[in-house]
Amino acid sequence: MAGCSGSNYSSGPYIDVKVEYLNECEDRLRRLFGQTLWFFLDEETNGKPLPVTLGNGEKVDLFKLFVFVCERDGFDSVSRNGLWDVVAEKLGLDSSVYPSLILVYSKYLIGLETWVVENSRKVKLADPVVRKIGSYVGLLHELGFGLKSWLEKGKCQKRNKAVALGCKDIEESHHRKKLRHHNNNGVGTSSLVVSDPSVVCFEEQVDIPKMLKWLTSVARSPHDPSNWKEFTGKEYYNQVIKAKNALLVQRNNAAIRYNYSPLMGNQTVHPSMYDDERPSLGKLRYSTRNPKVSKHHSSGREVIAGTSRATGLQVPKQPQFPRRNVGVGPRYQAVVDEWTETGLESDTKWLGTRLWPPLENNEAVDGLIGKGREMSCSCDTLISNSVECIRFHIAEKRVELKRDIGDVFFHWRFHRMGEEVSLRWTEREENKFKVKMISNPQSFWQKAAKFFPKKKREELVDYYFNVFLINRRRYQNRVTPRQIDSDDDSESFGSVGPSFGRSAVTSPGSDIMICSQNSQSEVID
Amino acid sequence: MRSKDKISYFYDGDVGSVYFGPNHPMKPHRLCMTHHLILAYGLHSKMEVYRPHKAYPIEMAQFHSPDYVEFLQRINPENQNLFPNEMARYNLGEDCPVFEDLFEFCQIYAGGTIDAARRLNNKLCDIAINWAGGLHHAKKCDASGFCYINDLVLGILELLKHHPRVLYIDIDVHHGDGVEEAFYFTDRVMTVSFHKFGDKFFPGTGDVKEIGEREGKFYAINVPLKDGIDDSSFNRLFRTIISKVVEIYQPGAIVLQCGADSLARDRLGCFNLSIDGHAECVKFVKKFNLPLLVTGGGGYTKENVARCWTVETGILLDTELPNEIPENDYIKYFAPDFSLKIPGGHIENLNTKSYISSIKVQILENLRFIQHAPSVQMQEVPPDFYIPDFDEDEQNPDVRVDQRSRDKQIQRDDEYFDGDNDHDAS
Repeated sequence: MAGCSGSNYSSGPYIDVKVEYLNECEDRLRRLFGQTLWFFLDEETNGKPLPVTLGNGEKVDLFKLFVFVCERDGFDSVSRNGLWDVVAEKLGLDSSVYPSLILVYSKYLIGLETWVVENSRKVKLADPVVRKIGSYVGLLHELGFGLKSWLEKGKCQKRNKAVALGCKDIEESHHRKKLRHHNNNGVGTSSLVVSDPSVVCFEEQVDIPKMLKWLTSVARSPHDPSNWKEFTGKEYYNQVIKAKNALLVQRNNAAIRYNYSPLMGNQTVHPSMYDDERPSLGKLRYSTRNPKVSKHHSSGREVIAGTSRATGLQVPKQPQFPRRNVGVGPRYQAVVDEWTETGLESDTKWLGTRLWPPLENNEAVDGLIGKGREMSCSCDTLISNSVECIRFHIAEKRVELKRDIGDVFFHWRFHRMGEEVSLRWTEREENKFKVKMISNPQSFWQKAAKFFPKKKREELVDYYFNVFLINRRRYQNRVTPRQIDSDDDSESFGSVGPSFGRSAVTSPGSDIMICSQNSQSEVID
Repeated sequence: MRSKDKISYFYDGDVGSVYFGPNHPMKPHRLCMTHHLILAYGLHSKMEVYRPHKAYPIEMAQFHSPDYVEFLQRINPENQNLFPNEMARYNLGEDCPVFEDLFEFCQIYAGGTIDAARRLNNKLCDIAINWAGGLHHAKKCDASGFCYINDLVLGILELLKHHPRVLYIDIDVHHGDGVEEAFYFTDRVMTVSFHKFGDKFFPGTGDVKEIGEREGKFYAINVPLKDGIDDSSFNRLFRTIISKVVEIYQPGAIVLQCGADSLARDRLGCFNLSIDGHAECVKFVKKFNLPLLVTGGGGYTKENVARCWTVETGILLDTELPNEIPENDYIKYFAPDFSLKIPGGHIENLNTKSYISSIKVQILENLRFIQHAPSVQMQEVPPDFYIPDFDEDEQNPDVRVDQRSRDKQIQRDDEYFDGDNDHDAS
């Protein structure tokens, strides 16, 4: 259904446009009606057959029936005044079938009528009926309004203004996004963006692409005065705001729908508990409180500003109901045998190779387990607790461990742990590593084999974790103690001291720490 | 409380040089740091340390589909571009990247859990630890959530060979969907998972209403929680639920997945547990004195992971560890405090008392259904002892009647008159 725009201002083909308008509105209403009815029937009863046929096989157009009865002020008045045969005739059916019509009406349409007639605009959630019908209330309202005004229009066709559907703002919507705005004449025109991408109906006086363009340019540079020069009449702005509201309503609706959906039964948790300020489209593996992490796994999950998609044709993902997402079937479940009294034989062959305690020695060593760090060490007071002192103690502990566990030291790859790893690297290699890593951390690992042809990947990984990251931590610990995070690979990296890993293993006294001005970090606590 | 639990600890040195890729939060190097810290505290003297065998593909195929396992064997970073369809089918590429030595890594951690289960089956130890394992998201035919092979399912299948019922407890911040799905239809495994649920948090499953189906109905328990739960609420809930479960279900063995991403300040998690709170769960489960398999799992802030698992190893060894971390190669990671305590998180606790109690009520309600209809016999019926009848005539008449036989001849006071005194039989 194409947008019917500009109809208000042209005077020439006025009548034709209006007729066209009417037809299009009728189509729209018909569709609305169909949806509402389907929903109604789905909710209230189980499986009333559609399409409706009379006893003699003739099909009944429910929409028309509904309209005609409403025109004549409803089921009761029609029955009272005996107008059923008139209605039957209008439908093109034999007037004698009106008893069946009454039956059909009372079965399918009576509830709908009560709702449309009641025409309550604001939904009171406490109302138990509302709760029952719940989610498609908005649709009903719209239908109600639509019908009412359409019927009115049908009666007084000589109005000057082309009033399509005299609707005011409606609070809730169902399955559709709605943008309503009053144009400058004060005439309400309704604009419907239907969730079905094949059908888009958008009536407005303002061009959508232009509005989008304007919005993106404003978003990019909000201070740029040139953007706001075109900001005449606040048209774009109003549209944007209404679009945003509509989307928010949609989301709130989703929450309410979730709560009251008949599928889920009685939820004891209010959906607002799940609400959050962050836009949550798509699955998040993580909480987005840490902005650095949110970069990760971002394919397919864009954080969309609600407004920029307002006029788009897509549907935002429906909030996921926690229905049974567990896969079911032979491709998902494990095969669990029945239990037999004796049980099955558990393999005694593959039980792991014992590395510690060594096989000859079976005595448990007690006493010195779980000793922590001493408060004061036995070093000379001059160098106690300095960098050198700590390095010395680390090395001391390492030697002790080596003596304690013997060969297992190598089995457990302790010889590849610690800053001693840098001993196997030349200074040039270390510098190269540092430079390449800082300049391009993302692609470093893909090209690492090229940069370091003599080093195996394991050696690179070991070096990375044992020397490079340690140095980063050393820097962070000293310079930015409040922002310690060695896991963040993308952060820029400063360094302390002239050389890289070398300084970890040189003996004290020979190298003096050269103080240089800290030009790397602006944050010094 | 047993006098001394025998602990088997599994570790393979090659796991430290596994690298998932830049910007990937899962860093197996944390296992290296954990092991290092454990040794620095000297805990290795109190337990037996084993190097696991590398799991064979045929062992992995006990649960996983053979084509998936075969694909994992074949794929590597160089040729992954040649198989875009299969990569998509098995969900490899983004969360689960293909990196060097991927299959070897899977073999190591899966082998660890399987070996641990076997040692428990053969009663060679009381508690088995494999911090490298616990990758609970992997499914039968695809990878998921940084997990490729589900070692927990393989370990449980192994345990099921010797025990009729196995209890699986998961305190990772993510729902243990792989394990739950694998055993969704069976009552031989009860899966209990405490996790964050809602806000589209990965993996999206784990509502309290998921309780299993068919024979496995009511044998899956999910405890969905909100951001920021603290020690006291979590521990209270844990103790209530787990004690009830063990009482009703009476498992033969327990598998405990100790994902450390439920700690405060984790990169991906959003709970507020301290290390002591986390370790309380381990302490509580240990008290049941059942064969226990402890594995790792999530945990994306390396130093906190190392701290947490070291403390828990200490608890399993009944050793209280001092807070000051001894000097070791990775001590810089533990700055500025160099202690085992981690600072608290600052996430607001969104779990109201009413919410928690409503969850608890629902779960306890569901548990009531199990009491009446176990498909596997709960109580072990002892075999009938054969008690031979006492026959007076068989006694040797030359031997003096011993005390026992004489006792048997004593008449009860309220016995009807018998023999010569019986007036009725005339």
